[in-house]
Amino acid sequence: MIVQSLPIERIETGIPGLDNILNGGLPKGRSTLVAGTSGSAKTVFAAQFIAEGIKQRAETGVFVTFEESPEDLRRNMLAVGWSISDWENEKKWMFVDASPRGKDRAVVTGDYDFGALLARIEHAVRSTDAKRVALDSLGAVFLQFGQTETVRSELLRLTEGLKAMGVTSVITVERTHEYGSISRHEVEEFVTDNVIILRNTLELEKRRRTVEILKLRGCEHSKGEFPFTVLPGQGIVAVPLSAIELKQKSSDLRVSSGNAELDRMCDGGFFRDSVILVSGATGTGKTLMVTEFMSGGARQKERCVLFAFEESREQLFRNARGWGVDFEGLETAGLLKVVCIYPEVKGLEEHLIAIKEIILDFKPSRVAVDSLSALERVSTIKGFREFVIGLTSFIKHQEVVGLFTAATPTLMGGTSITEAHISTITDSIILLRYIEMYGEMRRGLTVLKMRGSKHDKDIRECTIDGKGLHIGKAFRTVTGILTGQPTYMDFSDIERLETSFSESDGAREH
Amino acid sequence: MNRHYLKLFICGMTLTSEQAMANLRQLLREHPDFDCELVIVDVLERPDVAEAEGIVATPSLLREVPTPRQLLVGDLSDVGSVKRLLGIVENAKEESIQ
Repeated sequence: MIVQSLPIERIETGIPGLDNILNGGLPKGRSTLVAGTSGSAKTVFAAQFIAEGIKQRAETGVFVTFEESPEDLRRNMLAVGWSISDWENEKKWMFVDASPRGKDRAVVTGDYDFGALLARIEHAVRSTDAKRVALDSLGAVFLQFGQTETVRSELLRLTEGLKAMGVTSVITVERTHEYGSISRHEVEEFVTDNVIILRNTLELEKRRRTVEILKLRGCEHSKGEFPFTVLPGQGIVAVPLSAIELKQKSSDLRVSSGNAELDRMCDGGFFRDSVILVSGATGTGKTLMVTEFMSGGARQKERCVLFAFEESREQLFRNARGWGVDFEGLETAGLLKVVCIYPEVKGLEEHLIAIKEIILDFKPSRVAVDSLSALERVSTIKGFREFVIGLTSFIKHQEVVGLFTAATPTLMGGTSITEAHISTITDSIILLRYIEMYGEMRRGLTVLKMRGSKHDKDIRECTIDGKGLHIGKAFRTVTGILTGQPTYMDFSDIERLETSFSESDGAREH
Repeated sequence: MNRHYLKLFICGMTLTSEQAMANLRQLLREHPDFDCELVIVDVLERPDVAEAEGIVATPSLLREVPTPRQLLVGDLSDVGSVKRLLGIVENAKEESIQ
């Protein structure tokens, strides 16, 4: 006999990013245990589960609180942006207050059950026609009644009761350690089907919040830890990185880099939904390339956003003026938005979310980030890589051209750490390098890779003046520029002057 | 003499509910001097009252007056504790409040 079970129906939590990780949502009509140490945002999770149901799906909810009083919760959640009392008035949210009340002293005098609690929850569910129930948190029940067999079996009866009511529930529980047994009171024994773990770890002096779906019985879900953050006005926002599907459309449309010579080197410009990394030491012209990329877009009436993490607005505007670009005018015309953020003000997850919001709001065709290296300073390597993957895939989904810059630590040659981490993620890489030639510093530029297109392979000299970046001819007499150890071919001085640049102006393509 | 206001919360006519009521009745029979007003609340019929008083477990005996409020959880079979908590003194003509 073949027994085929129907796929388990899901209910979208509505928590941004989480449903992606859950591959659809929580199993409908079941209980999910949410375990976390203190300060891991369990209560926010539980409240958001109800709040998003009300906001997004017109599903009412019941919040059973064992720990904080409804009064405290109303006030705390107002800071997250949810006006619970309004929802209570509209009969969309109902509290079941099982928190220890001030002066009541409870003494056990014999056998008991949690019949009253179940009756209260059932009453609340019936009177609001609730689809969602949150219980926060079980630890307080054990604190009130002790860690007895009765409490355990009664909590099991409670979850059975919730199932019988047909509601989807989230039950929070404390953990003592970030990695170790699931919960302090071993409640997973009776809510075993679905377990989500919230973590708040300290990595290299930085707090990192992650969410992990430990199990979701009978359901597919993404595995591993995913970063999330708690934002005022939004609550939990998860960043489903490896859950991002590689299904970006690719486009054959090209856009100008803002520099005619560079366009020629790239066989007509950048692809419309590609991400370009510009790597170079300080002063090689990265910010200039960004400026030209922005002004080139604005010239074609495309909207552009520049995220600057290194320089202030005033500096950027002054520099742009120096190269003949009027950022102020472009901003007034609504074609440009310059966002200057000090990298240290928030974590990378929050930066990513802020960047996404600005992009969704402004709907640009071009996005530049100057520089990624500045952001790398405020994060761990893993967190940084996740950030770049998240940003890259988001940009591609929006069909936007992205230009990122990365600073190399050494003046001559070398690759940046940033580059090593993200070069496989970006579509094109442009290198800007200093070249020391006979007592003179010169700048070289090369297109290292360009996915899906032929491109110029020369290392060309470039110069910067009051009109911007000019790309000249290829260095023919120097080798070893990229390694930072240039060697020169043995010509006499006069010969050098005549032959140091090839005359065959970039027509070499392989 | 102080009058006691008691509320006994039960959850349907289960064995523990009946046990709790029997234990309380027995206690009151043995102590006719204990002046009290007792209300029995079935949480299945009046979940709103249980909500208002924050009752989680059943059976529960709530002493509202005299204050401080005292909550006795369980079927009241631990008679010694019940008496102590309600301030019933054995073989005393007048009960005193601890």
